[in-house]
Amino acid sequence: MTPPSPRHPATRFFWAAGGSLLLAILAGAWAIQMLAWSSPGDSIEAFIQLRPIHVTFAVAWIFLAAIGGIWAYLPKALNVSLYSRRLTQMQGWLFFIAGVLALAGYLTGNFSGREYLNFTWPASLFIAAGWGCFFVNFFSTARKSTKPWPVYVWMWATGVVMFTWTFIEAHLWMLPWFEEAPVRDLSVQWKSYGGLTGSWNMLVYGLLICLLEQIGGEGASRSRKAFFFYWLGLTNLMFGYAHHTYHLPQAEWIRWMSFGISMTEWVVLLSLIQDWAQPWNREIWKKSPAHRVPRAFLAATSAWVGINLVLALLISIPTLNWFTHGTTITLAHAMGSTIGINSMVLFGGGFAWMLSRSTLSRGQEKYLWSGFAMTNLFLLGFFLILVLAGGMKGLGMVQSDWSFSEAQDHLAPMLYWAGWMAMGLFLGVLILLFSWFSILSRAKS
Amino acid sequence: MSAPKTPSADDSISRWNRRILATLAVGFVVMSAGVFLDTGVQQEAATFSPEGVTGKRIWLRENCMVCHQFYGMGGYLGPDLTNVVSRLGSETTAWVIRNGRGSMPNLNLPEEDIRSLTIFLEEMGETGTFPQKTWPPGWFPPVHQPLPGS
Repeated sequence: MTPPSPRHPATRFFWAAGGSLLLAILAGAWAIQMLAWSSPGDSIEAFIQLRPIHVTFAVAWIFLAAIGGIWAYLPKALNVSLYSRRLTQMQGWLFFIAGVLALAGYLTGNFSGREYLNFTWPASLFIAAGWGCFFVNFFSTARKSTKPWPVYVWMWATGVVMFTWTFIEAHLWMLPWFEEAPVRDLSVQWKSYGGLTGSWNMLVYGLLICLLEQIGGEGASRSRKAFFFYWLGLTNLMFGYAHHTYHLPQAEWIRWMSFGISMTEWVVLLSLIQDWAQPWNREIWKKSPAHRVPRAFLAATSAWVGINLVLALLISIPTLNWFTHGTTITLAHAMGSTIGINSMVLFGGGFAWMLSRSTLSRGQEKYLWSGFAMTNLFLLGFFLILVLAGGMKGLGMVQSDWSFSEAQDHLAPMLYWAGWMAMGLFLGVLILLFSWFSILSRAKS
Repeated sequence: MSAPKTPSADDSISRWNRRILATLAVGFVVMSAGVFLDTGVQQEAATFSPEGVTGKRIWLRENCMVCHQFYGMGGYLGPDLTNVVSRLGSETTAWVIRNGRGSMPNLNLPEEDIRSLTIFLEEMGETGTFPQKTWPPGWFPPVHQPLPGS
């Protein structure tokens, strides 16, 4: 009797990523229904617990699915074997314990009180240890390659290093020198979150380029153009964060640096406009019909990159930032990026790998397409309402001197519809997740 | 004797990549040091009093950032609290923390915690102004404001 083959490391991370996303959307939907239909006091107390669960596990979905994608494609892309399966298992278990600790903390009312990383230090320690395993395993695997790395391996490497830096930076507030200085603390906190977002973007965009090469045979990952955009993206990751902190009383040079760096993204937009038709090119789709599912997710990604880039460029212009900062426009930007861009790439990458090890019946495919369509349509509705509501609030507060409660009264009808759009989005993602688990359970290791 | 090996396009990009990455990394470390040392446009580092630090810890423990913002950064469910004490006065601010108001719940905090939290909010408000309610808007928001006692 032959022993069962060990489960592929990517499979474990895709299971964990799906579980995290399920928890995130359940907490998000629960928070919305509490806010809409419960008494104010009760709903806020529930919201204080539900929002950190939603945010933490949505971010966990992005990291876990990206890491799953890296373990799925890295060895094949470099033609090397994985350095250590045991380290991937250790990494998975350490992250699992961190997740349990974070969730237990939230449910019992123990928070760090910080945006995004709202868990207490024991969970941080387990995340750091798990990331240490990933760091060693990633670089030990990639170093086996004797050829120069393609651009996406550089992007993954950058994401791994930048997360390490930014995770340390995000915990500096525990030192008195940062804790006692209000402006310094806020400045470093939001700098670290800019880096955190940038680090997962490096992992996700690396996966996107890797996918284009794997499923479409587009061998552009070693071109000068690919490296140019990698350097441009990295420059923005490192120096462009402060377009979110223009209003903070920090030094002028930080603002000017971020403004200048942010404006270089016009080059990315122009390049995107130049190549806008490529993701929908029928000839390319016909060449590999088996890849229609991941291709659809990547086509949706390119549309969302365009939409988000236009918004990001506009809100980085200081005069426009007066109206958009502190409004739901920032939230729209975050939702468009994490769902429209990151999640579309991650679903595309995950499904591409699973479908190379499994089959899809017509009924299952129809089901998957309905989830895909619902997710994108409701996300677009949600995004547009948030932009409109944010613009109204910004204009009202700057020009007409609205108080917070006046702004809430004016925006209530829009936020009501935003709530319904979010519920539609919840159902769309739920359908996608059902397909995710169903195909994953049948994928051969 | 063999001819010298011509570097491939891959080698050339790889060499450039290492140089550019090294430059960016040095720039990033220098910039990060600059941000850590920055005292802000006031040219003088604002710091919390010991009671303000206690208030800040209560703010974090009670997870207030989920609903509220400082300088427009944080949750959107409640108002921005950067200048709440100068707007409402410290007694009204303490009253709201003590009793709740609108959708803000009563957090059942002891009086000394309410006092520390109010001091924290007051000291936070002394660092600058948000939102800027001036028309027409300028380029970067004006944030020059003398520190108390300076």
